[in-house]
Amino acid sequence: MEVEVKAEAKEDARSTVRAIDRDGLERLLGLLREEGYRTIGPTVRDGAIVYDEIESVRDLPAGWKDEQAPGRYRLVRRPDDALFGHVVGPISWKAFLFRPRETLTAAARGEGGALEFRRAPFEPERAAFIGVRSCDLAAIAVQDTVFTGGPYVEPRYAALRRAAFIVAVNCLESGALCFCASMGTGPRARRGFDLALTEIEGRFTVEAGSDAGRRLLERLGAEEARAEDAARVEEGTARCAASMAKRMDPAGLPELLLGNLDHPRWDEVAARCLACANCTMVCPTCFCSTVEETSDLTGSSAGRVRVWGSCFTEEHGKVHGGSYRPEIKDRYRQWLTHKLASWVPQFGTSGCVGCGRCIAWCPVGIDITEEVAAIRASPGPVPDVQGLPLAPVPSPLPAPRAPAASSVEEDLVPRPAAVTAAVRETPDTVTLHVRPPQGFSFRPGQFNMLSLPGVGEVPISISGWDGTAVEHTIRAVGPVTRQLAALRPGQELGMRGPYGSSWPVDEAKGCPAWVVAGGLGLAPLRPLVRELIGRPEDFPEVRLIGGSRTPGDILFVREILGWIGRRNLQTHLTVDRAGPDWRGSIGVVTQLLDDASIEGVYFVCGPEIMMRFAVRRILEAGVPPQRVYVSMERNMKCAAGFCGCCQYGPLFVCKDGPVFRYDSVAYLFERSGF
Amino acid sequence: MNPNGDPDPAAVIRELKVFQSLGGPQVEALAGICREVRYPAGSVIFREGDAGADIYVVLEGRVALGVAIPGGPDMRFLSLGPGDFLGWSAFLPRKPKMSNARATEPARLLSIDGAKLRSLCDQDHDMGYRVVLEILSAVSSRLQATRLQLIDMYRAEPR
Repeated sequence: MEVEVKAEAKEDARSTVRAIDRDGLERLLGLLREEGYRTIGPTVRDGAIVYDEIESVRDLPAGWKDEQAPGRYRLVRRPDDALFGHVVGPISWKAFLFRPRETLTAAARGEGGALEFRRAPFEPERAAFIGVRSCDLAAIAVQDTVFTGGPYVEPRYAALRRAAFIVAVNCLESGALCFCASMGTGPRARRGFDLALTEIEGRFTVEAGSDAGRRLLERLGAEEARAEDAARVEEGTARCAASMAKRMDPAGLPELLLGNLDHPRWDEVAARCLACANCTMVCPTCFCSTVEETSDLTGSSAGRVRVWGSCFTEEHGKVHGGSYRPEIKDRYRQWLTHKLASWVPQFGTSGCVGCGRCIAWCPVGIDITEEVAAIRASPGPVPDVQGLPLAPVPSPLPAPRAPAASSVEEDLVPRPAAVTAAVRETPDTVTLHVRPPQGFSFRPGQFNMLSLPGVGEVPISISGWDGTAVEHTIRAVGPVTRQLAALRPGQELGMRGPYGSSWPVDEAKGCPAWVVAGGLGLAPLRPLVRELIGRPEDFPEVRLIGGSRTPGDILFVREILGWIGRRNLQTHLTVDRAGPDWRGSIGVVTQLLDDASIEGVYFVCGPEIMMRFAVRRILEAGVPPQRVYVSMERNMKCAAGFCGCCQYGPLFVCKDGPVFRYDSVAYLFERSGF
Repeated sequence: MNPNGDPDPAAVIRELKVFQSLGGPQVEALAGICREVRYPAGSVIFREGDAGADIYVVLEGRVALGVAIPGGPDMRFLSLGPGDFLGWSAFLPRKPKMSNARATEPARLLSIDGAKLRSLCDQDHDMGYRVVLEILSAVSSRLQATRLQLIDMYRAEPR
């Protein structure tokens, strides 16, 4: 399913330009409501221009202008009574497409107590957006890519978007914080609208940008615009562009920002930033979200509710055991590098449209254009990384991903699945065997999202397949994993998946295959080991290197003992500490990599710190980074690239990973704060 | 000096990676202060606080290092295998052993008299430099490993 992209008017714009007065605009609103659209437009509320339902031209902010400066926004009277004599306020159109609060799934006990999941009922409202500025048209196009251009389509966004009618307004006056001209997103609306208005001395020119717009224009029966009025649209928007004092140079921003991750400016801006998240709330393209569990008092139904999130919150980068972006500096850098740099490889476009909202609504007046200019003015010395095994500058950046030919919405709704066995591996770790829905298949390295209604949902690596059920090895550490680990055979949970990339097994064909596991990292590696040792003709030499905290923490002991004697497998286990009963190796897992084979292909999974030291040891042995694969962990909430929480530089761990070839993450691997 | 009928110590030394950088006469000199010793599984090689006369290289088997914890069993934090130095602190004057060493598998060790090794290295600084470089490399990798153990990387592991 693809959102229909509003086609640019093919004909010469001038020929379709009509002219209306305020009564004509009133008639236009009436026609839209007649066609079933709720009309939403700018209106004055609480001292700001906000988008809300309008019933008449009288609801529009006639004679108001918004005076803006960094950290400042005030409505003042205009000398005239222009309806669109303002620029943009704190609300953007994302509030009506990617809505701040949306119920995703609902779970209930059906007949006989069986668990049922369904996508929450959703009736997209037909809304006409009146007064969409060119920057905001660009923002809508950006969010179209985010929510409908990937392997998954966000169904609620797509439905609301398809049902929307867009009436743009060209800007003839710029605000003090506008910089759309330099970002190439305005002020002239050129595409992405059904109709576009230009307000000239109390009258409006109207042009159609889509068939729906043309039909409405016909029904409106407006006269053709005078040639000079049509010309004034071009002149006026050009003058407006020239008048913009603020600008940002978008050229080379991905390389500039990702190449200056240690620039002193990050510390400087972090000292001012309050991490209040205002910028992300007012930004028309920011799309991060989080989820809340809801349940009723009787415990018979529960839901998952998506709410806007922000990379400025501690929660955004949080997993059990800590936050990946503990400092405000880490979070500001995440926001800016995402918006202006990572966005480009992720979505093929910048995430900034130059609307200036983040500058006005920042309580301390941080100006995104100044921050970029400061880094551009004194770029740090690009480290000479030639010959070093680590930390190459991210060039070339990953290519923007091509939109998927097909996409699957239902994959995002959990399905009930029954536990067939629960095997205790260690005092705090259990392997749940779960019977998946019909047709389930996975590749080693992928993960499932497991959920319990009213409790929560977590990503869990697939640790195997027992012939009828899929295995998940779960360590009881947080509220959700503790409940999951307590499930008994016959009980149900919610499951969706599998998601993510897998271990590229065949890369190791004919080479020594080294499987390096730390702690629970053995779980996603076990299906790989099973496959490797099951194909001795392809993988004659498999080495399993496993590290654990203590002998009691070693996973899959019985299975590993059963592997002894396999001709193509050598197993080396070590523990960090042991009592007198342990006769095996003691010491950290990296010490088992001293004789790493230069011809080997390496599959590494474990705590990030363990992977860092293990990979360093492997590279020191002369292994090229292209032959090393790691599996990353981040805060994965949606598994479809929508929630933004699992970003690792320009990568989404949920859909680009979790398995990455080491050279694609090398420049972030040695750093903290990402 | 070959009480057990084992091969010539110089030949054993030449096989060891840690002494690879020594020249012929240096190997011969080292062979003069070495002997091979064997420990059955479970036996103690040295204890914390021992005067620590000898420095070892493991030739075969496995040795675990640990520290006695009052009121509990030994805590073992490192095992050593073929090619590893054991009891390197004997190279330093007046330095007692810092941990308990116990063979966890039948072990064959090359035992070097620490005082004599020091005096050999005093006389031949070139040899001393090479020996110290090898000991430093072992100590450095153990320091690194100890840091990782200190981080206790699996306990806080998110996944």
